[in-house]
Amino acid sequence: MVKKGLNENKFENSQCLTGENGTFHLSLVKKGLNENKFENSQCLTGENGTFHLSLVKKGLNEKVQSNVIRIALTKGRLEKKATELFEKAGFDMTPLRERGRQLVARIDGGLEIVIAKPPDVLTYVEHGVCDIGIVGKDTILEYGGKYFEVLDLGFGKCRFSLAVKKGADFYSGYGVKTVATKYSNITRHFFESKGMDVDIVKIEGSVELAPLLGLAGGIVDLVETGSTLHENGLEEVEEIVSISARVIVNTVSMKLKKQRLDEIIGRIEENL
Amino acid sequence: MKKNNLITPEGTRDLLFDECRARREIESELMELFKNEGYSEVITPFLEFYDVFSGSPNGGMQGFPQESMYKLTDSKGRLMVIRPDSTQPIIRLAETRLKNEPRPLKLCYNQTIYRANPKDAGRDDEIMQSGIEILDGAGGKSDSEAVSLAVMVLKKLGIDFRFEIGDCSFFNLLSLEAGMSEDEAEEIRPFVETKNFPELSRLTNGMLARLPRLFGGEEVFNEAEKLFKSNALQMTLEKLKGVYEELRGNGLEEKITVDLGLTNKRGYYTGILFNGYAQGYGKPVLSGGRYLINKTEGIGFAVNVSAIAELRGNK
Repeated sequence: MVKKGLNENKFENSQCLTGENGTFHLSLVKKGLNENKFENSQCLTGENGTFHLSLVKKGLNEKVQSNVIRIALTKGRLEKKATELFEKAGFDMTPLRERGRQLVARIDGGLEIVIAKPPDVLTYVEHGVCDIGIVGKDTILEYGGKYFEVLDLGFGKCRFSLAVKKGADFYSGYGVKTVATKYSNITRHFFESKGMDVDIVKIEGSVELAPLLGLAGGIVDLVETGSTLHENGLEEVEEIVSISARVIVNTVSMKLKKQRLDEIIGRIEENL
Repeated sequence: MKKNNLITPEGTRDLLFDECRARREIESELMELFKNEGYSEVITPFLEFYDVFSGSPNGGMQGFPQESMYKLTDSKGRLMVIRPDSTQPIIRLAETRLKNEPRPLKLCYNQTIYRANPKDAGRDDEIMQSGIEILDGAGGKSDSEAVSLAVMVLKKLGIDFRFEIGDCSFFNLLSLEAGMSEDEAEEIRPFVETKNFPELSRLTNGMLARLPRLFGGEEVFNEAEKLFKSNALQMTLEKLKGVYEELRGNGLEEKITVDLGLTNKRGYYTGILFNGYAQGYGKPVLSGGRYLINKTEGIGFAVNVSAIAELRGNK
């Protein structure tokens, strides 16, 4: 209950009971929600029978925060797959499915799910504002960073490949080759490991265009089935690395919240 | 031409009023503590020759990654860096002007280091550190002294902390026992350091894949005792357990953790490693270990003063 917007809770259909020692119990009438107990808190009844709960004592915030595990999910396909996986593991993901335009969803069992673009998942986890991230290995390889990479989820499978115009020989001749890609770091690393100097051109959209327009001799891109390449008269000549979705964990969270993380990651692993 | 006369370089900032006061308070608390414990302060230059950090050619020390140092040249065209670390300059000093001083030599410092972080990483390039070094030459004897001082520091700073201990010998011994060359071990080491279980299980099914899972509380020692076969591993474990029990004795049961998967990420560590973590800060706030730099053995740690100031500011 620290940052406004993220942690301010609002409960409807709830009962507020003051208990002993200035503690009070908050019991939610709505099915499925756990009973929470807060000490040194203030309970303010708001309009429309809702009420806001705000914690008063300093230091308590941290405790509450340390019990919530915040997970960053990569927007899009991985988000869908991960949501299904969490449901299989017994989490009720309705708040995430029905979140509308909200970027944060609170899940029973002390989870908070944040939806973010792939590189942002790495950033949030590295800085420790999210404990866990679910992100593709492609993003990890391209952007790097410091975090633990604890689990291969096995879905979101694809590969990085070098592709050229059908029939072309990328490696022929002495001239320096030009490669177009969205993933300049992975590309640079790959050619460095071959001891090759290449010119890398960063393309943001459909990379397949570059060889067709004559800008580059080859492209390095994510390939799932190869049909896009095929339809554009390109062919895969070399696989660079295979990719799948990974679970990453902030290095400090891993140490400070080991039990909770073990439990959550264990539940996910069992349901893979 | 665009002029940059009104902004500070990325990763740096001006500190105002309370921010200054918070840092100065922390620094003086720490330096007072160090001096009371018998440490003498040294100040090393802001600029050092690149060679101080580039690793020793014969010692197998890798040194600092080139891209993480700010560089410039002196009037003779020699490459210099803004210090990215205080330990190596202090060793340089100890091996020259302090070479005839009796050991153990207990030194402390309070100075700013600079690390060039990747663009837009949102990290501070400028880090204020207070720390100590015990240069003993004899090896092992000062471990518990340095470690208990580190815990004392964290307690004194009044933050909600966890203190973690490990030893890079576990990885080194296991990779040796697995018949790996130094190069092969260095290839797998980052995956142990980053607890990259998927990659590890692809590369090996031996103990090295299990090592990074051995972290947590006391149960880690029991588990490792069953798993470690060689005498060397058992002895290292026994030694670490001794440190662990000594620390726990001070009423810190909940605060002390162990991670046997810590490795020699800096290139100069040779034995015990330790980190202080705080709720609400995504990186260690204190970090240290036993090392061999050039010909000097020692142990030391640094406290990230900026981090502590931020943590205190949050309260």
